[in-house]
Amino acid sequence: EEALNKKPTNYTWGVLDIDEFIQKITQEGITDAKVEQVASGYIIHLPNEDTLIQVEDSSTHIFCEGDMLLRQKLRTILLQCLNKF
Amino acid sequence: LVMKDSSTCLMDVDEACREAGINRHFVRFTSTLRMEDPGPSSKTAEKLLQLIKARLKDWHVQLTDGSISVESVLVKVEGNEDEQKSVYVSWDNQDEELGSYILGLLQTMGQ
Repeated sequence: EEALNKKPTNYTWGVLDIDEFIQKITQEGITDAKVEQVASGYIIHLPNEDTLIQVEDSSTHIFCEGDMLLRQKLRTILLQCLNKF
Repeated sequence: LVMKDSSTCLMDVDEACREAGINRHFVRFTSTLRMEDPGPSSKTAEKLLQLIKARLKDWHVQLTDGSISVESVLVKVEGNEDEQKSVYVSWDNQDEELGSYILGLLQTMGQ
C-alpha cells in the first residue's frame, strides 16, 4: 500500500458525448447498451454486465458489480471521451 | 498553480476552474460486493474499518454515520442481521488507485 499514489491522476472537464461513448463501448464488445433520457441527463443500462451509468452535464457515475476488468474498460473509454488536464 | 495578470498564485482546483470558466466533469464509480458475515451491519463495518486501517496506516481512515471514508472513497455496508451483506465501495476518478485497492482488498476478504 506504500506504493499508492496520493496525487490525483488528472481532472476531467466538458460534457460527455453519449453517441461517441456508446460507439466506443460497442467497438469493445459491449453491445447491449440501452440509453434512456431522464430529466437530469441520461441513464445507460448494460443489462448483461449488470451495470448502470448515470450521465449528467457535469458528472458521470458508473454503478457496477465487483467486475474489475469491466469497470476498468468502461473507465478507459469514458476518459477517452472527456477532456482532461 | 495559476498565472494571472503576470502574477502567479496557488489555487484550489475547483476555484481555478471557476476562474478559467472550465466546466469540470466529475467521474465516480460505485461497485457492489456481497459478503457472508452474520450479525448487524455495523459489526461488519467495524471489521472492514479495522482491516482498511491496518493496511492504510498513512491514510486518514474514518467511520462516520456507519460509512467508512478515506479521501473520496466511501464504504457502506447494508443488510439485516441474518442476511448476506451488500458492501458498496465508491470513489472519485482522482482516487482510482486508492478506490480500486480498497475494493480489491475487500473482495479478498469476502472470499
